[in-house]
Amino acid sequence: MTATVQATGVRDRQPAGGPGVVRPRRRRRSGLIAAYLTLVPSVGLLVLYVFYPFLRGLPDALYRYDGGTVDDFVGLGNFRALLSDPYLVPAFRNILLLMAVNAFTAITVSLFVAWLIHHVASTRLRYVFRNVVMLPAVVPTVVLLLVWTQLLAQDGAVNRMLGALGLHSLEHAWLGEPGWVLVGIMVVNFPWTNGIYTLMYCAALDEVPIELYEAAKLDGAGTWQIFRNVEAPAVRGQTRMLLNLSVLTGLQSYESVIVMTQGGPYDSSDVPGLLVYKDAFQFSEFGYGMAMAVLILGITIVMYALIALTMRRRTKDATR
Amino acid sequence: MALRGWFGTRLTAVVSVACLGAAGLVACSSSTGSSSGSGSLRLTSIYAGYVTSFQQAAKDFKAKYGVSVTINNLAYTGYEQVLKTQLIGGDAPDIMLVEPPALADFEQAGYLQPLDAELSGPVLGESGSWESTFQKGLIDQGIGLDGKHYLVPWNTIAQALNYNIQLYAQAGITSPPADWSSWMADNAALQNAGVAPYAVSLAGDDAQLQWYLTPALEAALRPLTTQINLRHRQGWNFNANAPSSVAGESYTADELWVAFEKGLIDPAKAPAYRSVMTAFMKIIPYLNKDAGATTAKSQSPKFTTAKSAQTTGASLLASAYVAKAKAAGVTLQLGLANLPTMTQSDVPEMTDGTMNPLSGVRAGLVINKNSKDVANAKKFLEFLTQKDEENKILPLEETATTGPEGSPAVVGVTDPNAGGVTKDTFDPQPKYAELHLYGFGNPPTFDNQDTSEFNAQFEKLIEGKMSLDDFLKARSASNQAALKRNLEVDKSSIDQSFIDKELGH
Repeated sequence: MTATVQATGVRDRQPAGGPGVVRPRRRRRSGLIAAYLTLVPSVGLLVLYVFYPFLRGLPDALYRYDGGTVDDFVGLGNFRALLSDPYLVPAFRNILLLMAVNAFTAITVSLFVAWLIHHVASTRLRYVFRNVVMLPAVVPTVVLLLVWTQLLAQDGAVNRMLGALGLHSLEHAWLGEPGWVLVGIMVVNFPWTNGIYTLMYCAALDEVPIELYEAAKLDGAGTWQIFRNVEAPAVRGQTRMLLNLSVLTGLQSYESVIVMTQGGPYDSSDVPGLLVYKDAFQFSEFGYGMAMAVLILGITIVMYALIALTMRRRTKDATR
Repeated sequence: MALRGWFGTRLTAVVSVACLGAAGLVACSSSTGSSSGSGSLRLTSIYAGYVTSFQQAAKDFKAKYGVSVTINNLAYTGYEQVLKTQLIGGDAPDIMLVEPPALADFEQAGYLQPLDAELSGPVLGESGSWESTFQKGLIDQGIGLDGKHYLVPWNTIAQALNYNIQLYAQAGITSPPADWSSWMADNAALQNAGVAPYAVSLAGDDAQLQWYLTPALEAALRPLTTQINLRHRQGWNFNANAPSSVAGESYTADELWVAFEKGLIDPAKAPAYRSVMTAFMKIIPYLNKDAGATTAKSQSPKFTTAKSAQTTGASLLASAYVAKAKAAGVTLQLGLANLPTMTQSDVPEMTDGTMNPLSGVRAGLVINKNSKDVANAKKFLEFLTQKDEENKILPLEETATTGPEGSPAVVGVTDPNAGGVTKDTFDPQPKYAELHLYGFGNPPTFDNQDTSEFNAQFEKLIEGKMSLDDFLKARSASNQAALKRNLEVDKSSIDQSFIDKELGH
């Protein structure tokens, strides 16, 4: 089938319904334009509210700018100052730890819950469970965090429960002791079932052909073998995507820290996103804050690339 | 079918683009409406309970002068960041109600309109200067680091030691402590009687303990006032026992830098600083062990439910404490006293009087330098702070649930919240001349970054995770960095030749 290039440059495809069915040229073009126009809002909002502010603020990283009287070009001075910032390395250590634990718990627990739902016999019950796991997602994050702040307080429900179980040695000032504050933040979102992740895994598991299960059972495979050889490969794409999402959002997130601890006690729960906020909006060091934001971006890109490379290599190995 | 599909797609596309255009317009326009032009002003409050009273004043102002004033309110938490963002974006209100720490931040960034000429002049055609209508000493708390007046005081606050009379009696204490040593003895007596002496919060950078520290440091460094305030006006005479002797004076960024470099106010070098900290640390054994994990919100009920004998809070909140205790089923007999002061026996360097009561401006009004109608903004401030107008609008303040935010700053204005204190030995009037090194209500820091570093260092010190020597070294480094930043921010008003001469450069 050859394509005829029109004078306007629009390639003339064979229409659905086979040869002989020709749609008017103007309607084809306007349909294409209309299709692109529907993309404009999404892309436009992305450009307007994400890319433009970032690109607009990027040059500030080369300035000492306090939003008022100080506005001096310092070149890479802000980046050099970052290298000797005593708060930076501990902050990155904290966020990497939080990100790793959150990604692990969110992905594994969500997969486990999705697997359980997938294997519920009743279709109606499966539907109910899918809705139940989504319920926490409708609660605003800040509300959840404020509730957890109360639960993790010195005399909060968590310590009272531990006390009632006789586990007094486990009672801690979860958000008030430097050694435990990160643990307290990690505990938030228990039981770590991320509704959206769970639904995505449910959808992926639903796509597994029933014949594969039957064939595996005929071959004498047990539950674990079926999961490992049939279901896990089916959800590999989702896992890669959710891992990437966890890294992308995790590295820059700071809402749990700013709501629950504001970086305390004595800066022990600082994370890079919070440092950017503090530098810019509390200390009026907008240039320095921007430089830190650029650094976070760079590290995020590197990590994203590493994960993509690793997952691609694993996929290639698996398909050999 | 095909036609409907084509039409539907096109319509969807058109509607989507229209929505995007609307979103773009929203993004480009200001979030709080366009900047006011001539004949209309915007005032932003940070206390929701004041909006009704400000709106009445706006109504009266419009009736008299034909200029409309729109009153907005910002949530108190994080208001500084919100206003700063608006100031940078050129979308800030004409008049803002702010607290003294925000004054320093905004003034240094050049956002504010100086008011010296208006304050020294007659107000709205009446005799007497505008400045003279305010309570003594308050106007000077609105001076920036460049020595100009920026803030017109709206209300005042005084911190008091609130104590439970019954728990005091249980420990055999019949009167509140007058000084630091007596207070330590009283705390020991309370502890021996099985009563928690003091529930304090440190989480969330709560300022409870800082309220003792800063006045003590300023009192201990008071004897050095003439050595620090070198760029004073001609003929200035400092008298430590006369608060009015420092009227119109303030420390400037270059003076503070010189004083620091000479070691006068350097925490690591000034003997007075170490003496104050050594005396201060005597309170630590009497604090609640979970102070580092306790927020102000969870600390307050410990006092109102009689689980601890004392707390530090604004004197005007006394009736609110009693009401909260009643709601919890507890009868609270509340007494108020001035914050126990360190004396020369605690701090040998405190030779020019002891601590002043911690009282001063709670919040004041400032004018945005880039307001399109500065003249009317100034006129509205003058109108708002007239005695008759304040007496008219203050009863409209909504303080029933949160308690009042402050007492009036203008002479002759009746405080609608004055009642409710059951026992009062409290006197908020300053007794000694004070040029605030650190600002009223601030920790001993020189900018926001210094404050953030202080909170971490202070918490470590209180919890025994940092020695006093390390604390003083850390404070010294933080103070020095902050003063250096202030020199850069205030570069237009500093005198480099003065710095060079004093430091021998």
